[in-house]
Formats: sequence, C-alpha cells, structure tokens
Amino acid sequence: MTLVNESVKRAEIKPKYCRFKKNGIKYIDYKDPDFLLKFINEQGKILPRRLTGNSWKYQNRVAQAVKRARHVAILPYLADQMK
Amino acid sequence: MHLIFKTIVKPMKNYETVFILTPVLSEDQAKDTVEKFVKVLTKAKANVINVEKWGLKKMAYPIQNKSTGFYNLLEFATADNTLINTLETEFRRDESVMRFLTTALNKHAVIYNERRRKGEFNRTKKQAPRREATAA
Repeated sequence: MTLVNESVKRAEIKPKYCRFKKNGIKYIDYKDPDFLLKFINEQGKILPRRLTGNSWKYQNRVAQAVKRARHVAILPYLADQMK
Repeated sequence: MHLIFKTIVKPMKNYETVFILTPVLSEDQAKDTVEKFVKVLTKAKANVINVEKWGLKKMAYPIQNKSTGFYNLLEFATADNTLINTLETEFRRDESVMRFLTTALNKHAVIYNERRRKGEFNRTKKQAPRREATAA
C-alpha cells in the first residue's frame, strides 16, 4: 500500500489577480452599492483579500469605501440575508 | 510683492458631501434646506460644482427610527479649509439632517466624478428603468 497524494490539476487553479490593477480602476465610489456588493458577504462583512484577490492598496480602498457607505446607510452594518 | 502673494494663495481642493434629511419634511422643505447649505458654500466663495438630489430613498438600516431619508450630494471646490468646519457645524445645528459625510477628493476621484456627472457609468443605466417603473 502506498499513500500518494492526488496530483493537483494545475489547470483548474486560476491564479488570483487584482481586478482594479487589471482593469485600471483608480477610484472606488462609496455611493455605488451594487459595485461594493462584490466585496462583502451576505452578512455585510468585508471579504478578505485571500478571497477577493485584491492588491493591498485596493483592498484598503475597498474597505474604506464600504465603511463610508455604511456610515451614510447605503450599506448595512449588519444583515442576515443581503444577497 | 507679487511673489509673496503668489505663495500665499492656496490651491483649490475638491470635496463632496452626502447628507440625509428626515423624511418628515415635505419635498419643498427638503429643497429649501438643501438650498440653505448651498448658500453657506456660495457665501464662502466656494465653487459649487454639482448639487444632486436623489430623493426619498430607503436606508440600509434605521436612523432615528426612520427607514427612509432624502439623500443629497454636494460637490464643491474651495481653497479655504476652514469652510468644512463651518459647513459641518451647520449640519449639526440643523435637526433635519440625520447623517452627513464630507470627503476630500483626490485627482482620481475628481476624474471619476466628472465622468459620473456625464452619466458614463451604469448608475444612469440602472436609474433609467427605475424611472420607467415609477412612471408606469
């Protein structure tokens, strides 16, 4: 009996990328809830960088935008079922 | 003398403010209060670029036990950095203002806002069907 780990299919793993760098988006608008919805889960929490793939710079800006949107009640601070 | 004067002149800086008025007001009253804040800006010789009234909108969570509010957006440019303080004290004094948020805009934000005003983004695409829905 030999125990061999299953080989990882490299083709299936897509490399992560920062969508802001790729698409050349320079500014994230806190007044646009539909766009910010991509970066929060259904509880309204900000998704981590390891899931969104954002670069450090733009993850910080996303977080800032989400927090501003929460302050002006465009996004909720807490929610049960957002999506 | 001219040189000294030139160094003293501060560059203009862009700002935007979102504020929410209570739904208790009538539409006309809401308009008047917005004009009042615009006047504060024009009095201080600020360059008012854009005034947007989004109308009565549902909020994501209740503020002061109210679930809706009149959303308004002011975009302006000024060289006077004490104007923000005077504007915000006006907001705090006025009881009809439930929330406000002033942000300084960097150069990317200024470009973005210009494009947004022209309606280049999907916001206008999404707004158009909404208007149809309210009309029908």
